[in-house]
Amino acid sequence: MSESGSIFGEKKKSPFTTGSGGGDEFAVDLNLTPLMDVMSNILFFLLAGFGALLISFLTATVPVQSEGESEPETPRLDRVVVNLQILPDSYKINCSNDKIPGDELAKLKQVIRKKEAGGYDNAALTAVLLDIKKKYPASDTIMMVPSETIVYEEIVAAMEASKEMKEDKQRLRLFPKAVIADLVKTELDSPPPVEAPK
Amino acid sequence: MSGGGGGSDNEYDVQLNLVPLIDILTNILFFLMVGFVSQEIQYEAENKIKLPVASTNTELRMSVAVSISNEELLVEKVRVAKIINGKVDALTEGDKIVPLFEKLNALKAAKQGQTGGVSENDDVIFLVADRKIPFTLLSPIMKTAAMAGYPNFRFAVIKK
Repeated sequence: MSESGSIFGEKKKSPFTTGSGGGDEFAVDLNLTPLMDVMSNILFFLLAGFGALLISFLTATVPVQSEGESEPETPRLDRVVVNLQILPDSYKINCSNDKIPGDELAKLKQVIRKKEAGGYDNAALTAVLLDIKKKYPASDTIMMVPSETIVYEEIVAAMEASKEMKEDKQRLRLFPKAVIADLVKTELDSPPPVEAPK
Repeated sequence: MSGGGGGSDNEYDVQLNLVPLIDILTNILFFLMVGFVSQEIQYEAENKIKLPVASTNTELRMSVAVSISNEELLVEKVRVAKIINGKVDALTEGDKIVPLFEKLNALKAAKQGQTGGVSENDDVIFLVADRKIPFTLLSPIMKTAAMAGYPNFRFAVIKK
């Protein structure tokens, strides 16, 4: 440490001075220890943060027709497929499973309206999906059907809300398999004309 | 630093030369800082794409990259179509975007030729899309990719 307390450290007679006059020549040693401390700290935090890359991803699939001739999987009673319609003003949730009675599935239907601030209520979506997951624990697939006006950011937010839930520092898997589907449009712009009774 | 007690003629202050160490640290620091921001710059500045944000920690894996900005559609950084008024400006057959389909088919054939068979990420698209892209634009691109044998997607996001 510097005896003088200055950042320039201590002044010493230079070992390179050869005598012969120049009694005023000194080698000034910079005190580099604080600089080293600061740099080591920055380096440590940068190295610690570097492992966590900035870009990540969420997985999704689109429905495709299988070409194989394998037997379709028998529906299980502890599993449902959640259908999530992302409408311009709300989320609309319903579930499907051929083996479960329709009235039981009808109880799972939910509509989550947008918040007053304008955004989708993703916390409410997660809560609803958690209830479904508790009732049908083998469920892992959610079919998302966004409306035409929905943007990519909103789809990603819905995927994130339906993928997992964080509770007490634990992550509960909800519906990690997201399938993004499109509504089938009819060719008719207006309903067919009704024939007058004869 | 001598504590006194005789023999002071043989005691010297040994000073470490810290300058080379600081040089090395400065270099490491510089390259780490450059590398730290490079990914975001790569996707957000060069491609004019603002990615959505999500809290996920999945590590990146290599797959075919498709980028969608408000101006163009890229496959592996090669432009396959322009985007005008939120629609792909290219030849289409129903929902199939023909140049995208052909490009993905060519990539699939080339990759299978290299690896001599099907590997894990051969049917996966790494989709880098702007956060404000409407579903009407996203949907035909995803369908075309599925038609070309890529039904699985990894949606690029920025970690929260």
